[in-house]
Amino acid sequence: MSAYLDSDLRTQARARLEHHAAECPECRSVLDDLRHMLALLRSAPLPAPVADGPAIATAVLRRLHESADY
Amino acid sequence: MNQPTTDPGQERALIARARAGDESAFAQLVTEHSARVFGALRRFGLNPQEADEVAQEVFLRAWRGLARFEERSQFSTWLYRIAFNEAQRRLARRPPPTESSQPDDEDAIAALPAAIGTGPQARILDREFEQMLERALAELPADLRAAVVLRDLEGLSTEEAAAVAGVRQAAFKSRLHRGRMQLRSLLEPYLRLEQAH
Repeated sequence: MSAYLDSDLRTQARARLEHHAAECPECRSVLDDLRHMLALLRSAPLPAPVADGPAIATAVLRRLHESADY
Repeated sequence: MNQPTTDPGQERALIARARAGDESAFAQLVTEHSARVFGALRRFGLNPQEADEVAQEVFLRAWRGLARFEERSQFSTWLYRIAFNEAQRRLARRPPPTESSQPDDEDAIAALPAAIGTGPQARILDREFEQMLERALAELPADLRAAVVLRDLEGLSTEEAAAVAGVRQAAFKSRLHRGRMQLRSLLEPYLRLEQAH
């Protein structure tokens, strides 16, 4: 099913799965759930950072200067 | 996904300058990519403080490894690889969970219907989903979690995600499928409720 949702199945296998899902409510339900879940995952916002980009850059440069191998 | 705002040509120029030792160019690269690196580290399972510390480690390693960066891969994918390795290293150092260190919520996913019922619509549902997702991801074995995070949350291609995880594509696809199926079971109450709205 993952391969199907990623458009990673060959035509024949794809048609077989679609035919089966049309007749099997259980598999159709799993497929619908996965499709819905993937849409939610792909639009999920990034976790909010503790520090902004410039603050991280400053901290990284400070650590670079402090490190022995700089 | 939070895409960097620098175009590929500008980024290549920044990388070249950073390789030559230009710290301000490197600082710009850090600024551009820090939110994405931090977000990936959180999704790999680190808490906010850990992710903040480890994000700095990732960029320190990137600075030291810039000479080895092969520009046929994207800079962001290369950073994901460093971030993935650093996250696994940090997670491996954690003490095993004890009874008392488990979250004290009774079972946030099982309690979800009541939680959704109390909030006014979409924003609340988004926030609820984020919380449910974080808890559900924590239930997945690390290799399955990484597969779902890289492919479905971070939006990498299968080829890129497999390279970051350090496995062949066939093995990666198997992990991804198992991860998605487990996550779907964990999120099922939410998915059902949302579909009903």
